[in-house]
Amino acid sequence: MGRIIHLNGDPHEQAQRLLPWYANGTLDPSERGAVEAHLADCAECRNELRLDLAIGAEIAAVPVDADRAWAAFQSGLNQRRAPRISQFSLPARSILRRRVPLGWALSAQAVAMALIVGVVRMPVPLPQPVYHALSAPSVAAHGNLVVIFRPDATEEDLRRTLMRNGARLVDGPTVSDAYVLRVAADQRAAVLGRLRQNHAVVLAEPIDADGQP
Amino acid sequence: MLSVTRIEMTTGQRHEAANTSRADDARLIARIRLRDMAAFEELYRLYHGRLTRFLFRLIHRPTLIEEVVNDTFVVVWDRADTFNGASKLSTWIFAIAYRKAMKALRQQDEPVEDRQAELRADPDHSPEDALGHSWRQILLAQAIDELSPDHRAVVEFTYFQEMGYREIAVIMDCPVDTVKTRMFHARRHLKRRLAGQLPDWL
Repeated sequence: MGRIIHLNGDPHEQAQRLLPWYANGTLDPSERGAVEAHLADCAECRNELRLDLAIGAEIAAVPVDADRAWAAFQSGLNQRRAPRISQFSLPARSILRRRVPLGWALSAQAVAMALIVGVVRMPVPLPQPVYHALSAPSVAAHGNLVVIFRPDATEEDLRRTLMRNGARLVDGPTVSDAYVLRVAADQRAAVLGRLRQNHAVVLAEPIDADGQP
Repeated sequence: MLSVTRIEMTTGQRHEAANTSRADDARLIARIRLRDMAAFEELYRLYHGRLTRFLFRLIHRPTLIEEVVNDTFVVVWDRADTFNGASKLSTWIFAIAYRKAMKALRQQDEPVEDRQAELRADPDHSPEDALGHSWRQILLAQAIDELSPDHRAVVEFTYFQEMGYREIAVIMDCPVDTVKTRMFHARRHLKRRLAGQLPDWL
């Protein structure tokens, strides 16, 4: 995909280059007029435009719990005991850089979407009281990995998965239907490998002793 | 003929923050400069979802997403006095987030996990039945994930954040032609990957 292609000068190619922004309605009036004039005569570009419209419509927004995220972030700010973060630049940044739970209220639908987009952020148990907002889930002590099962996984699937991997349930289900497990430290990598191959498991991630992934 | 109505509906569905006027931007950032926490919360709520959504796609290390979001808001709070109104507030904030995200990606030292591998390995797998999502959605997500971070960012900004190419060029600190070229390559890749799905899709 690194090959340079020069498109300047050809009205058809110029229109094609602008189609994504014609589709999202951000072209200025003159550009929009030029694209529409070309679209009227070009079936290929009309077809291309359908692709742009379809892509935009396919993937819905990921639900994000802004209330809980703000509570956690503000809690970090309030620890500063001074009006400007910059006055404590390094300590402030150190605290604020700590990972806090996104609190994404992932429904089964959203878990599926997270699988689709290929990245899932777990609401990790909070390691530090400074970030433990009242609405946040309780700290799960001693868990060292976190798992989300498929929405259609049965209780038998969960029980069998835990038993076969020597895992103990520490916490869960969380609001996003995640479970915090503990396995022998020297077995964690192997267990994670098996969990990720398990058809009943959507996500399996390690978390460190302090609760951080 | 193309569906103008559909385009206008798409335009009308823009994010709330995108509709914030320059005057609103100026008022909000002026209050934040005065260390008005209520104003900062207002800004946080306007942008937290959009930033998370953007980073959700751009960063393949999920553990970094909230860290980059927090870093971005810290910079906004710390350096509100450097926003001069030359661009929209959203452009300034996304530029900060983009730089933070790219820095985080450069520091990435672990291979990206292929979470779709299990699905691909199972020809009988039917995500539509089990998860309520269509196979073409999965294919689209896979195709986008195969793009380079710069190309993914252009796709995200255009299709999901509904930004114009000039604003994207400001955020990514590159010429507008570079944005168009990245999109050209990204679309070509998506078309190729979705080739078998397009007739059914469209």
